[in-house]
Amino acid sequence: MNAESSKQEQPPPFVEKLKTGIPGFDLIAEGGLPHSTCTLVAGTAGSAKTVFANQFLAKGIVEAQEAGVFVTFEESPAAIRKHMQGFGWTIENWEADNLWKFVDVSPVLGEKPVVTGEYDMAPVLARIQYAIETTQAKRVAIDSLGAIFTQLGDTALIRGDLFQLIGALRQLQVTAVLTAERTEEYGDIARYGVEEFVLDNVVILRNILEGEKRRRTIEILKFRGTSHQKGEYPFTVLPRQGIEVIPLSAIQLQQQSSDIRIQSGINELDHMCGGGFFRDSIILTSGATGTGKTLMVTQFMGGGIEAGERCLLFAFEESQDQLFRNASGWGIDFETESANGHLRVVCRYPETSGLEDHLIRMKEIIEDYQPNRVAVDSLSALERVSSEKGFREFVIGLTSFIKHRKMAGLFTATTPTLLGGASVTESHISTITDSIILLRYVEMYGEMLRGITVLKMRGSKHDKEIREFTIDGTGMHIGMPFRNVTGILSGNFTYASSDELNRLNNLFNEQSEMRE
Amino acid sequence: MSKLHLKLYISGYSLLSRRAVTNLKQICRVEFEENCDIEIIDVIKSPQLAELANITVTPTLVKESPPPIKRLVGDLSQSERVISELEPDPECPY
Repeated sequence: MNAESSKQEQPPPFVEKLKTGIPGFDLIAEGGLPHSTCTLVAGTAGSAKTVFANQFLAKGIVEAQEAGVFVTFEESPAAIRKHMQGFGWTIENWEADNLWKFVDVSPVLGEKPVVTGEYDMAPVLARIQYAIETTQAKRVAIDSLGAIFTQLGDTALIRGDLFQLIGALRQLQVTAVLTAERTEEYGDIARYGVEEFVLDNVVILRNILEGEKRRRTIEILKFRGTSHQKGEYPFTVLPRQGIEVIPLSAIQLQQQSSDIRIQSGINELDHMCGGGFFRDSIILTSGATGTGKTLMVTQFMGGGIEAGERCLLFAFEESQDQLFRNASGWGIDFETESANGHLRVVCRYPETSGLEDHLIRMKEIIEDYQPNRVAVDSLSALERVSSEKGFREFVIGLTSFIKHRKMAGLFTATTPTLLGGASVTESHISTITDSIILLRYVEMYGEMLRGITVLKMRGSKHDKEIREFTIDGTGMHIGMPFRNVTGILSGNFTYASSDELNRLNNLFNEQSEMRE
Repeated sequence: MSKLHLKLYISGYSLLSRRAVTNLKQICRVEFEENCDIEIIDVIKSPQLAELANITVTPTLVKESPPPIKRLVGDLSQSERVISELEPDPECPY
């Protein structure tokens, strides 16, 4: 008997997932929402719960031809139809095609029914079932659970019916999203303890105030019986599109790398890098204001154009006119090239939108233009408009996106001090970038000179010296290494006499001779 | 006195539904001398009618005429309240 029962033991049933169609969400949900279960979507006021619920249905209709039922306890259907138009969801047309059906349980203005005794919410259940049957709906959204209690009262009967409702949804083989209010970003899952009804899956939407800026994140708290990505992921709500989740840590580190070198646009710099940058690498150039970062970007773009590549420049500090004027001052004609389509310059103030929105717009532009080279001038300008964490996520998201498409990226970062120093930007992203080039001021006998060094270059030999460079009407010219100055990178210069230099050189020679 | 047209929405044979039906019949007999036209609608059998009338809870009693239209929710056990709501409104011009 025992043997028989153990023979019948089967591996845990495979949980089928329903692709929601919400961009990025299916990645962190590892496929989508568990099929035929209820998911609680909890969030504070303004955390985009209703948008999530609507988008879940809208995407079902648009992408999978699956009908949906929207049960509203809060807003009237008329208000929802109107508000969701901005996302391009034509609910009215879908209703006409029997793909979308409202079950309107929203409070009627001016009507206050007289209570004459106990009551239950059996009609809601019956109406939902009826709507599912008549539309053959596969998706159901209920907005929101908390409003059931504020509208119908928090009684034992209502709670009992809610249990029945959830049970019925499971039996009807529909995948449901139920929203619920939270009072604080980090605390109880939801008001009225509604999580006790929806046990299967919990998704939390947050709208956190960080350093005077709002940051939206989404977290899958649990999926019963199946896996998902853990932790908070940033998301944004875009006009005409709706929610887009930015699945950062879900990005896999599997981009291929190539040995193909590309020209930086500055011959001497190519030599310093051992023959040029790698085609699909990310290069970070850091330097104080006026050290020549924008020039390097300009020449990088110029080098690309010369090699017949498509170049894309995101400028966050200067206007297009300014950039074009400066470029022509260095002998590179941006105006003609951008008219020819070899170059595209996108100028935007960092403050125009949140970093998540910037990232999504930039991705769209890259996807649309399909460049070979991408430059961002400067990352530090973007850092202004974001929290530390949000900025790091932005850089990871952008770099992995660029690398996946086998493009070369050149980012600039501004150091806060004129001499020496490292910017916060660098410390955040230095591990993500493949190469780091430092541009520094060097004070020498009452003169400000400029120095350049290749600090890091993954997968290649490179020049380790700090070289002097000058800027003239044809661009950047790299010269000899600084031999008699030390402490350039720290900003605390000491000048060594040539005797001392010779002594140091000999010291190392002696040591290596001794070893031999 | 004009005849009362009432619609009572119930859900199956639940305790509340049965109680509401009993209470309503009692009130009609005692207070309105059977001068009532009662239609009982089971939302489980006819959810489309519940949808049309936008019924959220059961039992719900709707006084259709004489005007004004009134909605009463609950099992009608607070009979005094029910009676005062159903009695013709002297202010009503109709």
